Amino acid sequence: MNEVAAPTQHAALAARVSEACSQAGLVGEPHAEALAALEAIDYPTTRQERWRYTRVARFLEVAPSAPADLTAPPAVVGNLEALRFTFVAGQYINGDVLDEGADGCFAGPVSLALERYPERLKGWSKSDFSTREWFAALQASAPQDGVCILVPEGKSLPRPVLAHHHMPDGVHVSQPRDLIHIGNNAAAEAILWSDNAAQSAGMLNAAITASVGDGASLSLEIVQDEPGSVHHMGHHHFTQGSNSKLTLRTATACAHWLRNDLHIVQDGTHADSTFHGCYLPNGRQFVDHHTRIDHAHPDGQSNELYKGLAADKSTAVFNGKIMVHKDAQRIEAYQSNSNLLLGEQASMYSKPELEIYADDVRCSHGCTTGQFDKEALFYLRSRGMTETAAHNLLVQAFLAEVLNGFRPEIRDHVHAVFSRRLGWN
Amino acid sequence: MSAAEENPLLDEFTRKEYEFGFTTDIDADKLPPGLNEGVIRLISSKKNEPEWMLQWRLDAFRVWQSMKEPDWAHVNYEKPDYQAISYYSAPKSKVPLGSLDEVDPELRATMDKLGISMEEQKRLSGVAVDFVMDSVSVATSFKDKLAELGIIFCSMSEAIQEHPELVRKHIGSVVPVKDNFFSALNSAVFTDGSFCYIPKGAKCPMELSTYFRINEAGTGQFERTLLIAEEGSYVSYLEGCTAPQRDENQLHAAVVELVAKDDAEIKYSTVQNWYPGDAEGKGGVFNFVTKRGICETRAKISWTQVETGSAVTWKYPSCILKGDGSIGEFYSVAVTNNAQQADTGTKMIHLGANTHSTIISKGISAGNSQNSYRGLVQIGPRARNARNFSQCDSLLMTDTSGAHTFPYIETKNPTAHVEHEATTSRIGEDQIFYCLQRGLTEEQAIGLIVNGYAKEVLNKLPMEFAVEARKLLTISLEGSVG
Repeated sequence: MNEVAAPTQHAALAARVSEACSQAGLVGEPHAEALAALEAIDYPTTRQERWRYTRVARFLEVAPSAPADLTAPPAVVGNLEALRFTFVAGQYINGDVLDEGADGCFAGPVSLALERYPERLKGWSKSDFSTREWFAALQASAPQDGVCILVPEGKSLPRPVLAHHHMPDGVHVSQPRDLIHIGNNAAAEAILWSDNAAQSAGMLNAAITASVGDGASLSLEIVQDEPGSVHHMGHHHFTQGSNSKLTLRTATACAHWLRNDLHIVQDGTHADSTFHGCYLPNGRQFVDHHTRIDHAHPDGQSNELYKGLAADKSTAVFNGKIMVHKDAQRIEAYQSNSNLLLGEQASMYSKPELEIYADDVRCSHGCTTGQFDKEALFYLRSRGMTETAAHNLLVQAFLAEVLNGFRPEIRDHVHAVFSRRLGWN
Repeated sequence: MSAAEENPLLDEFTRKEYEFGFTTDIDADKLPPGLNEGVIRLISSKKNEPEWMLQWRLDAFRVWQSMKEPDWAHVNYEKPDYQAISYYSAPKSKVPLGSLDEVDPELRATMDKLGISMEEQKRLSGVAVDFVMDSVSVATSFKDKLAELGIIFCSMSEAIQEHPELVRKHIGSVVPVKDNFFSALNSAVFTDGSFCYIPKGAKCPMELSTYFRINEAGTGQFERTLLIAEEGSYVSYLEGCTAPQRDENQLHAAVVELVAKDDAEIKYSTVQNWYPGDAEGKGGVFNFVTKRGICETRAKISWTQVETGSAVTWKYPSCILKGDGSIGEFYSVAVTNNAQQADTGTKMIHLGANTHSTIISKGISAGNSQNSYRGLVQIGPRARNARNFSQCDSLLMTDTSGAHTFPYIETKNPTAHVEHEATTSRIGEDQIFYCLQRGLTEEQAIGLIVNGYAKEVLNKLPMEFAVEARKLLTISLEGSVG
């Protein structure tokens, strides 16, 4: 447990990361508050409650180099019609920029949005993670390019946006920021996809900041399909207005080491948030989903469902917090986390939390960790299935509740990745 | 509209004075405030302890000095000044006690006010009561009857004198000195407590019970309880607390250790009603308790607690399920009112195969209080077929109170089944309406609903205690709860 890093070590890491990102090209100015926070915040250790199960000491060894190869990776889910944008190691490569002018929709790289509409992006790099978490502060201190989606009041995007972040072979650091702003009564759909080359390593320290206006809706699918040995730290921050609807689905299809910090703030009444996720670490992989929803206003609803399994010697972590603020009455908040533990040496850490300061609420959480249902297994085997086939079918059925919510192209892709990794079929 | 206007019953209940707040005037043999090695040596010599005990205390003190007071709990209080507390106080009127008539009349009156008159207890319920006034055991009954079965039930200081080998072997074996800040402090300065030893195969024929009371103003009370159940034995132990009204915060840092050998069963029930402070939270007891039991093969430990008092509670009665097939249970009702804060729950540590644990926790928050459940279920890599079921429900009575749940579920064995569920809600208007329709008053209706809500836990209490627990719950929620 001796993970306390000497201050110089993480300061040195910050300097290396800053330099590597600057060489590759920063987007916008580093955030002054983030720079101050980077100095002030301690490097996470397992002694801190939020980092109890997440070891980040190894990050300190990351020594990145600027990527030489910036060729675009092959397109993902080619059969999906979308506005596509490709980023390699935090740099914009190509894409179908949509620009309807100063009053219209915009979809393109953040760098271009900053150039064309700086006034629309005022305060864009602000995320409350960046003043609270060391890695988020690091991201904001040297931000790189990501997708920017701006939908003004009453408009909607003609097609979904697919932003593809890729890490090439070699040891690199990438700190992209995706930015989504949906105006009042507007709507958008987007897919944020991250993948890696097989020989990639280093750190992907990515941030997503989104605001959904009053009466607006945002449907976002996040796919993390990352072979290689990149350490992925994600900071996903969402703010919702009154009567808004947020649907967020995260599929961690493959990850060497991954932590997602998701924070949703319902900043208006009658907001509705649905956030689902699935994960399936195997080998010695590590997947950590930290989620938090703040019901700050009355009459909100939230529905959280995270399902996953841990095979071999892998570790899965789920930490979900429902926070109901004072006077946020008539909240309905449901959280469910189910896990299957498949490996003899796999570990599952689950911490579903409720923090409630209002009395007229209906909140519940449920959490299970277990094995295959023996009766179900017996039933399938008595129908002539091998044990492996029966296991696989049950795993697929277990994950279907989450996976079926994705659009079919993505569901099929994630399913294929899981199949390949666990040897289904 | 304020909560008071909305619900006069609730308001009345919220403003209710603490019923058991009274002080007994007895001369106490009391050390001046402060803590250093000299104080520990003095406590040890006053109690005429053997050298090993003194050394153990001193080691604990050194460990404590290097530790920091924990601040991870969901409670907010002004940390006590550990140098402003007197670490020893004993009633002076210590006479050899053969019968109850010899007990100091003042003490007797106190007991009567608490409703635990010893004669009554003796005559009606057959409960042997080891009554602790401040830190020294004052009266013990039914001792002879227990002695016939080879059961030892005495104060800790007596046990150190008369059964040093048992104490030395087991003290600190379940809650190590270094376990936490408060257990280290307790190990250094504990003055008394209860000791119980059930020999192999013995079934204790009566409920053993102890009443604790903090009496002297500004006196911290550091109880140490050690309960050993040998192979195949059974014991049910009851512990109840009330404390008099005081304006300064009183610290209660007890340690309870249970050892259940193979096939033994220990049932440990607590009703806790320390003084919670006034409506603004002024005064009131800090209850920072470490309770833990260890289960050998097929042994069973069951914790039942009804928590209604204390300004701040920090308490996690836990089970280490070491032996194969052992069972741990935790049933809790925690009521917080006014400015009370409770962070309570349990730890179920599954080490052996086929171990089972059940957690039922019911929280009720009223006034401006904060009530948290914090529980750990840990399944070790060797705990094949371990099974846990946890249920944590919270009931909110006012919109100024808070109810929180912080479960930790750590699983390292694929054959384990762990389930956790929690709900938070308030009493439904439809439920109250239904009762009103049937001719109940609103007060009766709320009482009915709350008692039904807590029934699962109250039913686990031994008969003798269940009556008192219901009474306590009623008193705590009087005005709003029948």
